[in-house]
Amino acid sequence: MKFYKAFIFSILLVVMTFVMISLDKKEENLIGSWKEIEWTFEQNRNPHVTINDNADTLSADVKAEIGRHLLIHTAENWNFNANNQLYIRKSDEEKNLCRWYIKGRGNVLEIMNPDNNITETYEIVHLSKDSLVLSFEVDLQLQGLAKMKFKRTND
Amino acid sequence: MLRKFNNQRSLKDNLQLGAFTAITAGAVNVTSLILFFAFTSNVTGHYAIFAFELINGNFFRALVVFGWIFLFFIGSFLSNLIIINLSQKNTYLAHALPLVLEIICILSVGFYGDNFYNNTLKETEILIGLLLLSMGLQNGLTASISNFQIKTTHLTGATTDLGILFALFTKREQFATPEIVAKAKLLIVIFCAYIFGAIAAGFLYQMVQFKTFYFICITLFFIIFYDLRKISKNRIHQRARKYIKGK
Repeated sequence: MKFYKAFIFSILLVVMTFVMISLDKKEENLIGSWKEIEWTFEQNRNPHVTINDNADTLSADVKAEIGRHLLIHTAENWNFNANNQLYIRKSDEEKNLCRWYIKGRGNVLEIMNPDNNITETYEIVHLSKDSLVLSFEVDLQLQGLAKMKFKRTND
Repeated sequence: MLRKFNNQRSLKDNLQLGAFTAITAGAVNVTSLILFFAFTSNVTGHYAIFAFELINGNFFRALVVFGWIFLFFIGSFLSNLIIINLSQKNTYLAHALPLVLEIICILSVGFYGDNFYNNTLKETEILIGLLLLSMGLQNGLTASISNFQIKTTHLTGATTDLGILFALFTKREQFATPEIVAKAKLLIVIFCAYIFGAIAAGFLYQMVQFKTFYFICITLFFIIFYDLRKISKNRIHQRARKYIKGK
């Protein structure tokens, strides 16, 4: 009898754990409009070189170089919809439609461009009501970790 | 592979069980890494991540990771609960049942992923949990029935052991006993099988995505039916002997 009790108890614990896991609402926190405000580049040899849109042309070049092969390289505004659609656009330019998913333990943002099947992954470093920080590995000649900071907008 | 317990097991039994379960563990780990960005065959890293998330104030993420670690623990607990309580009645059944539960977990992940998966975080977290539960079941079983000689879901301890054994082999005349050589063989087979499973699953994933889990289950079915076939053979032999004696 003890065996069956312990068996049923452990099954209940498993079910409880799954219920607990399913209560998470991380995806809802991401839904909405975000504006890119800053790029930070942590280079292995030269840490903390800050790159942003208002900086000199060299920084803009570096940013362009980092993002050359990425979906987001022209993006300034990111709009995450509830149905996993992501609109990324730069100022007045045409919108680019992608799909977004959160993976892992809620720390990985996967963005997929359905047109060419390119998938990119970003680490969610920070996510709060008003700010979002994403990072990704850069394996071009720059070699390091790039971070993008966003603030929530009301678009 | 499953009929014998602890010291009754031969090196061949351990090599077979170690190899096949290591293939499964390697395959599950790599497939989950590709699909869900999370390791599922071991929990050492998850303990570190749990602490990391706590330090960073991400309490819900920490809770999720704790849930995963707990599921691995429950898997091992369930496995041994079954072994302890059923071994005396039917050893084969006691050792096969945790594998059946493991197959159910892995098949569920494959079937759900193949037919219903919408890439949501909740689904991802639950499927990772199921895979960790399955690996807990497997590790609990193999460690328990082999007197802690076979642990195939994580290779940290095995790598340490192999380092120790290789150091012992430098004093060959003193330490290279048949038992130690057998242990080294077992560990090397487990490493190779784990890597083989991981690479094979990586290639397989590119072709069949979630269906990779069905192929992983085939390996587990093989372990179960390999012994079942032998048991059936033995029973047929016993019946034949009785029949001949009766005549």
